[in-house]
Amino acid sequence: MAETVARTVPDVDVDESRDVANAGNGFGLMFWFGLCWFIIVVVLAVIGDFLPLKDPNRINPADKYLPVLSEGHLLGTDQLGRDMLARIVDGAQVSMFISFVTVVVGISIGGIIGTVVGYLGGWVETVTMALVNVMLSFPALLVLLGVIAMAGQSLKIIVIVFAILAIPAYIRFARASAITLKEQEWVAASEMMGAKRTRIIFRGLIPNVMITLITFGLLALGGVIVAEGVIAFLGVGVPKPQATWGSMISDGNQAFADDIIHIALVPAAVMFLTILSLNLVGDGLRRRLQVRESMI
Amino acid sequence: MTDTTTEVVATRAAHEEPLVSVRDLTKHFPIMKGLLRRQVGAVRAVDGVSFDIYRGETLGLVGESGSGKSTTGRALLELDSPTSGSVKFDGLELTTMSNSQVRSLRPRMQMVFQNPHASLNPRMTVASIVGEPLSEHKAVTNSSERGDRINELLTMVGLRPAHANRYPHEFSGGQRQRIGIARAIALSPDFIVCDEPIAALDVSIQAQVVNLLERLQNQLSLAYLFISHDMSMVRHIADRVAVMYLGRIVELAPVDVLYEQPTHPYTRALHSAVPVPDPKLEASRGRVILEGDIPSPAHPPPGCPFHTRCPVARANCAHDVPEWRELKPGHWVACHFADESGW
Repeated sequence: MAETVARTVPDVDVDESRDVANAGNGFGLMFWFGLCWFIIVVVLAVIGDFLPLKDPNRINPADKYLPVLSEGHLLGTDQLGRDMLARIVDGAQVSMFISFVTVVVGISIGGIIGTVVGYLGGWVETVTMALVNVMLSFPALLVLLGVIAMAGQSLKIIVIVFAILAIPAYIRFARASAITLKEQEWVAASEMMGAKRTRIIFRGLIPNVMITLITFGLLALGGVIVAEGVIAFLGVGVPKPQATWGSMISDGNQAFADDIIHIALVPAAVMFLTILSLNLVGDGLRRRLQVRESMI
Repeated sequence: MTDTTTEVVATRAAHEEPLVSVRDLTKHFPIMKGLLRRQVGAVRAVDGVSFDIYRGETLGLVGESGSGKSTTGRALLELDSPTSGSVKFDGLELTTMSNSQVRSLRPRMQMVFQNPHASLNPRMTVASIVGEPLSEHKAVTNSSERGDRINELLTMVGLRPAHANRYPHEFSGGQRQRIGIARAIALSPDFIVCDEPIAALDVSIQAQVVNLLERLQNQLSLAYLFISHDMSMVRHIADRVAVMYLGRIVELAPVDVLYEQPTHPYTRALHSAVPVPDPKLEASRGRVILEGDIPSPAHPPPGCPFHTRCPVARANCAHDVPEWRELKPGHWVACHFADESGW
């Protein structure tokens, strides 16, 4: 019986129905809407310096408080007559730079530390997680104010502080995934073949942990943009006259009293749409990837 | 199997060195309690098992869930270090070896895992899964040799070389188990622990995978420890069978003896739990129904571990541990009354 059955083993090809189920845009309309907006913002930030825009910092008192859709100023001008469109694009560069650096540093450093301690366990894990909890229990704003007071106010300092503050959360996240993953049989299979720890961690665990971290990181990008807005509003953000979305809202706040709302509203709307788009993209990816995880 | 082959299997011990020799293997998992994590007890998952496996043979290991079958397999391959006891592989003592010494023996002993959905890394292609042991042990010198070997392995397990660049989620359960088998045979081992390799598969696929394992055994003269709770599948594939209960082996015999003349009451109960595909026979046969559950391995009963559920237990079973003795050549049992027939 044995051999005959063995020969008629159906060498089934890949189950086509699965591919069909995943064909087309399984992400939904909102995901694509979000992705489009996000791509526009990133592209504008990257090529902004080469666009025929006005100088974002050129003060022109004659043209101040021009409303949206004025001639020569698509998004109007602010209280110093600076072109809003140019400042939005210039601010996009700052926002994208801060948020990307923060998230990339968080994912790579936090992700690696978290995966390593999650896999190794023992006292290494206990000590690291104790440190992480101490860092997480610090009020982030106070740390930032303290560092700025000591080291001075600059874009570089803000990015470094943001990145360091972001790492503990990613360590927690990566450790949690690594702990779940290391109980899977494929990790035992790697150990069985005599794979070294570095191979198990870097070839085995990290690619799996990163998928989760990247979807989380997309959602976190929005959080960093808001955080930059908060510190700009408090006046401890990127030094003026550099435009950032947060500092533009802060500037517009003063004009609000005179019923000139576009100076605050335009950057606020741009920030709102960007964060919304990041959430839509992150959410779509997360849902799509969870489907994949369950298929695996 | 004929009587002569049974005798051959039974008398093999006298002539041949076993490939794997396990003596009094135990694996206890400590139970920690309190703020200071003091050890208050232990789960005796494996509590003193001994058996030999010869080259090219299949030893079946059966028992109900929680009897310690998988833990035995993992402990003997040093995947989890055993608490005590001895494991000799081809004359080399594994339990006292350093990690790097064990690692150097990995190519010769491998494992096929239970759940094909969890035993393959979802982010690696089939080629890198099957090729990982090759590169880890530098079994191939360049990438074209590696590719050839991967294609050869995939063909051996009934897959196509074209499958090499796909990811595990693109395959069915049976195909994934084939990938797991290809990984296990990649370094031409002598011995493979098959840890319930068919338990997670559809019935229609189970026979295919078992046939594949048999074919590979003949081609590569592999020795298997085949862990399963499927009595009829074990009868089909095994040469000798060990029955485990609560961390101990209660009976070990050549497959025909174990299935035709079981002597331990637990073995008989296991046989009687297998349904007979004939309604008349099924209605007329006597069944041994066990009462209650398997006791907790954290608090195993004194005396014979099986006495709490044994239909023929007598007074001394509750305090005397039955001796592990050879009833007939090759037929080992741990029961006080194994030589009394007709209970």
